[in-house]
Amino acid sequence: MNRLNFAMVCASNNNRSMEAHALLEQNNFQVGSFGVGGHVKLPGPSAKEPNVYKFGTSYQIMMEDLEKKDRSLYTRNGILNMLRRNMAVKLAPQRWQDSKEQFDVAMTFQERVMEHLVEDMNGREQTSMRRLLVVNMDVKDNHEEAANAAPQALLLCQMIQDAEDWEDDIDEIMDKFEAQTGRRPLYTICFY
Amino acid sequence: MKQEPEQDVSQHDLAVQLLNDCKLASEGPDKVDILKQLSEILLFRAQHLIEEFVPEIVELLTEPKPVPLYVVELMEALVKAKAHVTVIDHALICMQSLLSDAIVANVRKAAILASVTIFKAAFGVAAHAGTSGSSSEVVKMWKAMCSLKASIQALMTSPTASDSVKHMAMKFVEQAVLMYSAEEHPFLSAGSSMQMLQLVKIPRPHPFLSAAQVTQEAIADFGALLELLKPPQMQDPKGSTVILAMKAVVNIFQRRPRLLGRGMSALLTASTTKTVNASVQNNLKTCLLTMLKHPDPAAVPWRKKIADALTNMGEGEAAKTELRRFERQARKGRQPPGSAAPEPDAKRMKPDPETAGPAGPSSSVHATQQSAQPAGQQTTASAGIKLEDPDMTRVTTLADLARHAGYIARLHAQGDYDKLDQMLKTIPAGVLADAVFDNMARIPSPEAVGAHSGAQSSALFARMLKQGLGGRGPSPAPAATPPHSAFATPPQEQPPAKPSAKAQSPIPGPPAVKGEGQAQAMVASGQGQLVKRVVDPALAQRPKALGLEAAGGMRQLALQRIVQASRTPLRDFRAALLGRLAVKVGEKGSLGDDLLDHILSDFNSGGGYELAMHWLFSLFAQQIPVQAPSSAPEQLQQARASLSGTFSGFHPVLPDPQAPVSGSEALAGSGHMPSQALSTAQEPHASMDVVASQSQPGEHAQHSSKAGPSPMETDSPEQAPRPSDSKEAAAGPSSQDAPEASAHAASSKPAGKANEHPEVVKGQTAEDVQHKLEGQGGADQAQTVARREQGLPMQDTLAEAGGLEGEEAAVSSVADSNAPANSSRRPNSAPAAAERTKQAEPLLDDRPLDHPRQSGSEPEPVPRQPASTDAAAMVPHTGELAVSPAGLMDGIGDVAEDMPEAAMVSSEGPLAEQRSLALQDTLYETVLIAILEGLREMVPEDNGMQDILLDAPCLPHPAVLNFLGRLRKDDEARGSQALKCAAHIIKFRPANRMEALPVILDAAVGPQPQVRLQAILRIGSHLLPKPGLAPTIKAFAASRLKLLHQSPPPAAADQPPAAAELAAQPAKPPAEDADVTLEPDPTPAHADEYNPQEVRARAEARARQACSLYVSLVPRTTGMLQGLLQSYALADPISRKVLEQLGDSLAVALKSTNPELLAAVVGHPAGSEPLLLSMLVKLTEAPLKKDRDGNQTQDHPPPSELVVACKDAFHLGQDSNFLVPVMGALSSQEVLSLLPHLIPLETARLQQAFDRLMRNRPDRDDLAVDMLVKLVKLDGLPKGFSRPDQRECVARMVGLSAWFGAEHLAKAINQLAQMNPLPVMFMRLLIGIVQKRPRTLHVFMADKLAGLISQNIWTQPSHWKGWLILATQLAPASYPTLLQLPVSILHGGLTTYPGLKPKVPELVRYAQSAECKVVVPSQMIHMLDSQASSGSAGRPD
Repeated sequence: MNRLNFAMVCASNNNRSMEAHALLEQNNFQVGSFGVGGHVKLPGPSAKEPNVYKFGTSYQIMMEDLEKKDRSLYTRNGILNMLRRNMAVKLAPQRWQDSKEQFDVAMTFQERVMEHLVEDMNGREQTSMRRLLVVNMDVKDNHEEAANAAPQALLLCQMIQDAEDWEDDIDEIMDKFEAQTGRRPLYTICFY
Repeated sequence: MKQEPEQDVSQHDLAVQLLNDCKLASEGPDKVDILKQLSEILLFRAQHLIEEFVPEIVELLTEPKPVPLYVVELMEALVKAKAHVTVIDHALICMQSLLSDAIVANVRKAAILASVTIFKAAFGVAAHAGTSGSSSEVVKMWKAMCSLKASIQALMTSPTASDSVKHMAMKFVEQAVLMYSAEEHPFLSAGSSMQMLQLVKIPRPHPFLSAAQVTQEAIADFGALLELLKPPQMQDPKGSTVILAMKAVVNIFQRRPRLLGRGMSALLTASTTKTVNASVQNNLKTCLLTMLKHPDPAAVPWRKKIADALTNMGEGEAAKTELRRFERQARKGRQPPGSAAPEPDAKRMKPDPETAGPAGPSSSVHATQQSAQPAGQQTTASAGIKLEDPDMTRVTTLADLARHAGYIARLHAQGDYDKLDQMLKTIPAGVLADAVFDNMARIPSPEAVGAHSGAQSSALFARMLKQGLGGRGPSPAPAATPPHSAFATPPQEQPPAKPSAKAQSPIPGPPAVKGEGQAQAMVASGQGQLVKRVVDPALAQRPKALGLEAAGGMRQLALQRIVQASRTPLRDFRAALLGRLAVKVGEKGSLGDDLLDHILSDFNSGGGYELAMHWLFSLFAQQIPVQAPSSAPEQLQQARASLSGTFSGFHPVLPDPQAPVSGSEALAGSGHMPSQALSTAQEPHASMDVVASQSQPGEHAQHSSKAGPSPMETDSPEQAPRPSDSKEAAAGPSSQDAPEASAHAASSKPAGKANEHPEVVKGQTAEDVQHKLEGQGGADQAQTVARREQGLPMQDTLAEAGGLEGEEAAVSSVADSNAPANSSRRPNSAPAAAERTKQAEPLLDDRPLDHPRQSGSEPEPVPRQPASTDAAAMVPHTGELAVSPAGLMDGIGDVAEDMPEAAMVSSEGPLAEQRSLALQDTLYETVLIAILEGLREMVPEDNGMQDILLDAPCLPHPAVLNFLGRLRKDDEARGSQALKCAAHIIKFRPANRMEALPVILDAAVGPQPQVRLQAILRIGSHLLPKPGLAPTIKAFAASRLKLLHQSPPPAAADQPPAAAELAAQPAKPPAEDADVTLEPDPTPAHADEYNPQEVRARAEARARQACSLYVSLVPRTTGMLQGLLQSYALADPISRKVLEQLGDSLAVALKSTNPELLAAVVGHPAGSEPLLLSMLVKLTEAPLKKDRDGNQTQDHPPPSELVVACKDAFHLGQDSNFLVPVMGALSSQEVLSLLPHLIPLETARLQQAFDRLMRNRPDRDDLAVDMLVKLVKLDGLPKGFSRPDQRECVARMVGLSAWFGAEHLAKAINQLAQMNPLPVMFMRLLIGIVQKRPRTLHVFMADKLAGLISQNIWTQPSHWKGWLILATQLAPASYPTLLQLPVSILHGGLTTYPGLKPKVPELVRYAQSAECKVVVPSQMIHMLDSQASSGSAGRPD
């Protein structure tokens, strides 16, 4: 059975996607993670003062920057821990729109992210006709929800991976997943 | 790639060896590895071996897994590397075999995926076969390809196919549709797998392929995709297939917007289908949003529907956001909706630098075509003459259009329908409509047209135009390059014909097509080259002479087809066509009904309004005879001028002032628009240069004489009146020849517009704007711009309401209900009207929002031009448009606003009256009323009816008046609508003022309270100030007020009359004027009509109905107050009560210094005092404030004028009531001196008097004491005033605790008690205090009683009894005082006032108790005991 190539996608490629990325990687999935936002935004001292970085800025640099700014604050709100986790997974956040890699399944964690992803896929030139299953699970952007959602993402990815042909079974997979988790993801299919 | 022979040999051998090894290998993966080596050789080292080895590779399909899968990949790669017939053919065989045999879905999917590439290659080879010569191999290959395509398409819905196979099949079909509907410019980057699709062109002639065939296949394939969006699939809980179908459809839409019309409705229908799959629903929303964002003009007509669908799906906010974005862009002028927009997915549009020329897409097209064509074809194409794009906005006549027929033919021949569409959009709709009707006989049959839609319609039309015009205009058409026109009807190649002999002839009339089968003609180019003109078979029919019946039938058919073609982007064009049709409507037949239905169903969004105007103006021009008095050219000038200003969007043209003309000709006589001799009267797009030329009648006459009648008239059985013989002679030999003559006139002055007619040049700017507006959205914009250009004010609806601020408070309180102050001021929320308004926005972002058709609000009118009293000399600042009150049409809205009222009213009447009478019982009147009746069905907030009434050329009465009257009586909403219409007629159509005025006047005395209020508001604030209207309004109001003089209705009786009494009562006496009546309340009479309350309420309502208007007019009109007072004096009690209620509001409106009011105070009619006093009291009821001490203060004391007037009134009539309102302004001395006159006042009035007197007065404490003292010791009573009255008065004063407190009373008692003798009313005062103020001052007064003992009070008989009464009432506080009396005196007192006896036992007990501090002699005790024992018999007398 061919191993599918999974992509975990959120807005800033820090919390939700990285949580799922880390978990899927631990379970030997072929996985990548991305963000679709314009910049990487991390919570700051207030809602109006986020910490903004460019995609590609390494997690290490982000962590050092935040430690320098207010170590206790970012320790308290879990940002530094999150960045440490991310550093163990990969070097830096990646932007979906800039990625040329082709995946079989992209899992998004917010409907808006899914829209961005689909819009990007629609705008791309279709050359290989390779299919991309885009699945969205709405997850709030906080550590707890991300931690809760990652196992569910793993479960869904496992189901898709186990299917002989996900195109044939996608609706059954969604039904089954809903029955197990109570969560009904939305999906669409794009082409490379 | 060339290889060395040795290398070739070695490669060949190696390939053979590898192939053998592959076959001999036992395991599938080993075979694949070997095959990969083979593919390396074939693809990169020796491509020439591909043809040889490909059959061997195909045979490998029988090998075990995974060989077939790799074979598919290899075949695809081989086809890419060498797109040769043999290779493709084998690849096709391979794919077909896999599709039919393969069980494994992966292999099928791979085969379908590879088929896309193979299909592209096959299509390219097949397309080029037309140039390289036909071969049986190519034909065979193409058939195999078609078979493969059919197989794949069948898989989309095959029950045996897995979903994944279906998905790939859908993707294949999507790509096939895109390929078959290829654009002429590539939008993919070099190297793209799809690039080749975009470049495939089908050259002409082609042995077995045609653009039409390809198009049909594309449509069929697209239809198959759309089938997947229908309910059975949509409702399937498994949604992946539907999702992919949706995405495929949207992908096609994005890349081929011209297909929007074919499938968008299916997508929208899908949005209404309920599906249980949330993902499907979500994808549908995404797809619709994507389409909503699509910038292509073809998507514009769908936006609203898409937005609606999204709204229904809960995405309304996103839809609105997108719509707002488009609106913003349109406003900024960056990207007007519907105009040329950037191609979708611009980022993927990367034209090949080799094919994209510097001239943009157009040159890119040609370059692409040339690159795809063989050398010979390229030579032909390059031989074409390069023409500059003509400026079609300058086309004003069919002759102009004919000059560009060659260009049209070229575009058509090239299949450049996009450009053709754009060009058609820039041609004024009126010219296009003329062309259509002049070529009606050539319009293809419905069956032929039925196969086309959208862009095809314009293509067909262009071909028709080309056929009709191409042979006559000077056509410098180049040789056309045979194109690949994806959606063109397949042309039929015909041998060349000779050049047309009528190349220079003007336009209309049936074309002289020679021969029935002549489907192709040749048009002579300017350079003598022959241009192949391809004629659709449907267009090649021989024109037939149209009889009356045939013409009617054809028009009916045309109407249906035009109406049904609602998707065409050329909406103005449709409107113009329908406008032409409207002219042909007779009184018989159903064409008129159909048109009317169309107008009403499409009134706000589809140009129905414009069509209605077309129709009305045309009928007006036909039906009203206008005789231009030769002796009065000035009047004609005025009439002409008025026409230009009446409806600036509809610029009629006036005739030669020296010749008698018909109405039709009066409106149709453009020297520059010979073919529009009639159309100028019919359509709103007549050129501005004609209007501009009106200031120079001589030149205009010259043009008119050359113009001749319209070609339209030649086939019209309902022609307008013909010109006179003399004019005919000048115009030309016949109507058939007129076009030639006109064209000659036009062609003889090619540059004459600029050189010989400076006035035309002046008008050109306006014309340009006009045409530009027409091209983009309607007559409204053009009208607005024209108005602005003329310096004319816009029609404003609520400008009148804007001035209501000052009177609203007054008159709104006049209303008996809490109705909204002005419901007519509501914003125009009618969506239909908003839609119509929205059309104007793109170009009118800076327009003043005050036109009633463009704004629901009613802003202030724009500043007027300085008005001159000389109406004939009223020329706006442009100097081009003269306006006159004596216009040919009486609907001179804008003009009227600029005219002095007096001049307007005095001069407009007779002509308007004459025309109105002439239009009675005519088709014009019928149509106008029918339109109005139809609009009655719309929501009342819609402004359509008002627009029609304002812009119609004439309002025949009494039909319009009757209609408005009926409308007013419908309900309150309709009543408001009728009012609004009538008010606008009065404001903007002064000639119809007097006809419209009764509608508002009747409403002002009507039974509907809200409508009545609105009418009163309008009359008071806007109509009354207009000269000429005030007398009528006043007389009307007075006549209704007089209805109050009648005897009171039975309801006035306090007791309900018996039924017999009511039946026996005589009928209500008629009013003085028998015609003056009030409308009965439409609400049905209550069953309990003898219930006095019900009847009284109805009587009050009726009285209010009669007098409200008059009352509202009083503040604005001097002298009416006296009339009101007189009527009050004569009115019945119920009416009086109503008037008094209204009087409060009236007083506020009048204000206390109003001279009329002051005069009325002094000299009021007898019997009117209650009303007058009620008003004065209301006026002096100033709002109260509290000072720092919490006391109420009056900010504004009565003005001195009012005080003087009231004093005068008092002195004249000795009516102290008139002092009450001004008591606050009187000094203390005056008050004390006038006090005797105040005593007789009624209690309520006295209360009012003291309220005003004491409020806000610093010396009020002293004054209160003084007044009490003064009143008590008053000796000389006023005439007619008795002592009991004085007692009563004292008691009432004592009861006014607000102003006479305990302290005041005590002070007054002290002062009075010290007097000797005591005042007569002293004891009465004390008794009154005890009675009115219980538990107040009892101890204090008991002490005073004791003090009076020392004064031997029993010696004063008048006070002694009072003393005893008071002692009785003060008991037991008075017991010590009583015990201080001498025994004999007390004994005598008991005799004098037996009422004291019941208190004796208690008095005895008190005297014997320890509480008693008084030394009581024993005789007193004995006397009291004896009185007590015998007192049981004593009763107070």
